[in-house]
Amino acid sequence: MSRRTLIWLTLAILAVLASGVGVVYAKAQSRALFVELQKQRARHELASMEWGRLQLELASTGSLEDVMRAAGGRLRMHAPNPEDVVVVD
Amino acid sequence: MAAKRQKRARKAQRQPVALPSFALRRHLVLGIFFLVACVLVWRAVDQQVLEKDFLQSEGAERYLERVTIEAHRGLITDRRGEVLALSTPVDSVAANPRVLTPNTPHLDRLARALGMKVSRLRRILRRNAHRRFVYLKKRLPPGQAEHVLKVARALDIPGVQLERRDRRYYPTGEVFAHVLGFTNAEDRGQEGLERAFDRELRGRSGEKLVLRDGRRRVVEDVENIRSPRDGANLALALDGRLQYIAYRELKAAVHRHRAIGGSAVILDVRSGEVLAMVNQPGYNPNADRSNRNGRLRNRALTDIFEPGSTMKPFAVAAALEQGVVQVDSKVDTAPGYFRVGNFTVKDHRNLGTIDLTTLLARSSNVGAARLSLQLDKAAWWRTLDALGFGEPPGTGFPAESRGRLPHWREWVPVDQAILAYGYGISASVLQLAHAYLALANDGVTLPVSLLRRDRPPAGERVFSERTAVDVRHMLESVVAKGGTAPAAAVPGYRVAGKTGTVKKLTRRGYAEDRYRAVFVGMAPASRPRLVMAVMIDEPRGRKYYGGDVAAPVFGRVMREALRLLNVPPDALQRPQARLALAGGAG
Repeated sequence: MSRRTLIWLTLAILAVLASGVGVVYAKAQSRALFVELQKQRARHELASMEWGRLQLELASTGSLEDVMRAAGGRLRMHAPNPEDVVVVD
Repeated sequence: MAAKRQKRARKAQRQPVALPSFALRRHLVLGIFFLVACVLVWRAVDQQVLEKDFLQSEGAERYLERVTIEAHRGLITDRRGEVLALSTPVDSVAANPRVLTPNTPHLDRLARALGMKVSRLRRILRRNAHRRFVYLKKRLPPGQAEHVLKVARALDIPGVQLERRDRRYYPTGEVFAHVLGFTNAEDRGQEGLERAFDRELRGRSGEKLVLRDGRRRVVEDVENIRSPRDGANLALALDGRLQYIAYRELKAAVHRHRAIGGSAVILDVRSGEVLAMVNQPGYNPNADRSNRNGRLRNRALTDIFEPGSTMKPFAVAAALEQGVVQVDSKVDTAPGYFRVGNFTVKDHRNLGTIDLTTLLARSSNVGAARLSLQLDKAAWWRTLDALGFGEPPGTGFPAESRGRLPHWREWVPVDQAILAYGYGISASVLQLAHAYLALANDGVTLPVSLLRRDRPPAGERVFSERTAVDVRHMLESVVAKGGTAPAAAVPGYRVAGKTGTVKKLTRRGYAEDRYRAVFVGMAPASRPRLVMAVMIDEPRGRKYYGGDVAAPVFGRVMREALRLLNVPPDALQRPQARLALAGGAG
């Protein structure tokens, strides 16, 4: 085996080792990140549950039916009669 | 020499002692090897045969598993962003009956946290003892599920877990029920737009690799296989406010006239968008979804009927367009009936010679039939075809009807005559509203849409602007005093429209006592913004005319709709006139 071949072989072995370590590192990194992602997903889930609850609350309290009832009843509002309307061009 | 011999003898004597056989040691070592081998074989037999079940189940319980990550179903909102359908995660409590046995201590405390009797809990666990998974209670109110889990942890009760799944809510209840439809337990669209746009709304679920422990709890998320993609949101063309008002008024009218059903549709004249689409009978999609009385049906789109007199404006428009008559032409309807083949076209009374406005205002069948018979068949058919009769409206809604428009080659004179007053042709309420859109939009028809549009679509001209404006003007007389539908009037606005009272077709021909009351109109008539079609099915009270039953719904809804949309009134006294009056008084 010539000196050159020996050098190349050594380099190749080192490269293989380095890439192997790299793979392990990348895998570990990806798992760590994924665990973090899952944590954030769980947070998102909680937040979206809360959001959904609030949306439903909004929809039930802010429905046109309730607004109209409040306007016509408690606030004693009504649409103006046509003879009270003046159109400004 | 003697010494030498002696030495050799001694050597010979010593030799057997110097070469021992080590037999004992050999047997000992072999014996140990044999024993070890025996132990190993025994252990293998033990694990492979005797302990197999236990080990397999233990192994199965701690392994890597692919689990799906559910994608969230998209929102459905109205055109203003108001939420109409929403998926929100809801917790259910589940257990692994292999771990949580009926004899586990503190079961009574767990049962109390779940709000069920301990006997019932035991029964569930006993029945499912061979399973690894069973729901203890589905869809708990928020907070309670966590409380149950906390109790289980505190008392060290094993095998209890939460299952989080999305549940679909429809905050507007029955108001939007027919349009939206609903989803099933697997979150798949079953009816309505939920079904039509299921693929878009659903998104794509992801997958991950997890490590589970003996209690089937996820110990660790190991790896992402595929990220989930949430479903797209859907913005409808409908306006929640108009929808609510239309629903309220339709429901009241159906109730008041003891009708079996009804539908109403409001279209935006400028964009072809459906602003409201309501039906009776209705249902609450959050509760009971059984289809009794066909109440799940979106009748406005699926049910077709003969439109009756509401077809007359198209006969007049086609006659004007083809030059058969002029705006000021007169039609002779005396003596109030005439024969086509062996069929008699009748008016309710003899109207004599009338102009086109009177023809529409008094709804003369004879006049309309006479006009229709003078029309060129092919051109008349093409007009109706362009207006959308006999064609699916193309909303993408499941089971939308295309209606029925016989081809002009199949027409015999009777067909052509009765077509003018809406018999021998059928359409849905949406199709009828769509046809009127062309009159409202100065002769240009637009495709309709249930989804919000960012810009108006390209239209197709059916009538000249002159014709559309003339017919609209004539239709104002229908709503005026002396017309068939003064109840459709909206204070402050000019309204154009047409009534229809249609005999229902039964198995024994046309029923004499069953009707559909129809009204289609537009406002403000000077420059229409909204078209609305109302159909009340079989009013069983004293009143059954379209002008008495359907027109008031139009009037009440339009009043509020025009105000909500900030449409300027076109029939107010001019402010100048008021000022002049005020000045005169001063």
